[in-house]
Amino acid sequence: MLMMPIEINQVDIEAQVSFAPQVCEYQIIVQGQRRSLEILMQCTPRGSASTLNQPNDRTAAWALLAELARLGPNWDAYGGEPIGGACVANARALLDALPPDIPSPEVTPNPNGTLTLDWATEDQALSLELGATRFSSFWESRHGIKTDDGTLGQGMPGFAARALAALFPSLAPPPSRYERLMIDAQGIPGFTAAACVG
Amino acid sequence: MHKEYPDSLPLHVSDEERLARAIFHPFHLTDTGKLKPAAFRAPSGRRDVSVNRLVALSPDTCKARARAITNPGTFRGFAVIAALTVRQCGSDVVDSRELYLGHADITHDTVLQKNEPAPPEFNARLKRMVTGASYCPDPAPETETWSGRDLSISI
Repeated sequence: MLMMPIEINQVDIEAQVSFAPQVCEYQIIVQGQRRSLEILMQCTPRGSASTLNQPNDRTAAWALLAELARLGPNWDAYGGEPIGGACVANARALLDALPPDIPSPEVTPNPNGTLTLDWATEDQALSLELGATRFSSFWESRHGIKTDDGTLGQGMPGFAARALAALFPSLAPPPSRYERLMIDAQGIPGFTAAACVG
Repeated sequence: MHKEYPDSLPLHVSDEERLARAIFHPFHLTDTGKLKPAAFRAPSGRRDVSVNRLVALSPDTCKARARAITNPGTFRGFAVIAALTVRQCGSDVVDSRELYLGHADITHDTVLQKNEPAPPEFNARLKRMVTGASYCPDPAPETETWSGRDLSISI
């Protein structure tokens, strides 16, 4: 949440603005003397995520997956089992589906033949374990530990996608990319032309 | 006492005991050199995770045991954890001297399936275990003797 000037019906006002990258939605709160005005505004930035940030190179992660797929029995000296081919394929598919500006995860083989993908920031971490048919995940968020598990479908599990959006909110442009938010007399929100992204 | 008279080692692993789990590169350490939860996992169909009882075995002996079971160049040090911490996390520690005197097992109540993930609560438990453990790297892992810090006071 940051304070920034916005224009409502050609009047400049200081407002609290926050951005939810998961849904690409701004929340604008204008504090009045007797009541406050809250506005939700959805936007679609011009240009794809890859034009906003440099694509992340997955070459090293793919190479590591190929290496882990070749692990033989007892690879960890404690009886570790070879990593299942389906687990490797699932990890590869998730890496391929990652938005370009999400960094590649740290990939760990587990003794029961699964793979764990880990992402961490200064104050949050996501651990996503992939099996042949199922996933198991826990997210150390700013509000405590959240967990989820289930059957793997197409693409990133929703829980993990939400966690990644919270860990790496740079997918969406921060409000500071826009010079000015405007809301006209009809209450229709928009941006000043000079502030468009993409 | 038990290092000198190992036959007097009690079967029960007391809460105060320190346990050392050999750590191998690269699978048990993150890119930044921190312990991974995988270090305290068992293969599928099993619930036991091997550890050494530091009340009975010297660091040199633990290191010799570790180097004997793995390829050269992979041993990196020990994760040291108190039996109490293991129990507080929900797992147990039992003596397993049939392997060798001073050997024990962390026993989990969850048995994992091959090629399928652990329940998230179990992964969270392993993460807590890693947090409660202390990683003691060996400054000279290629040598025969332990030259890292004192394992018995490393938590």
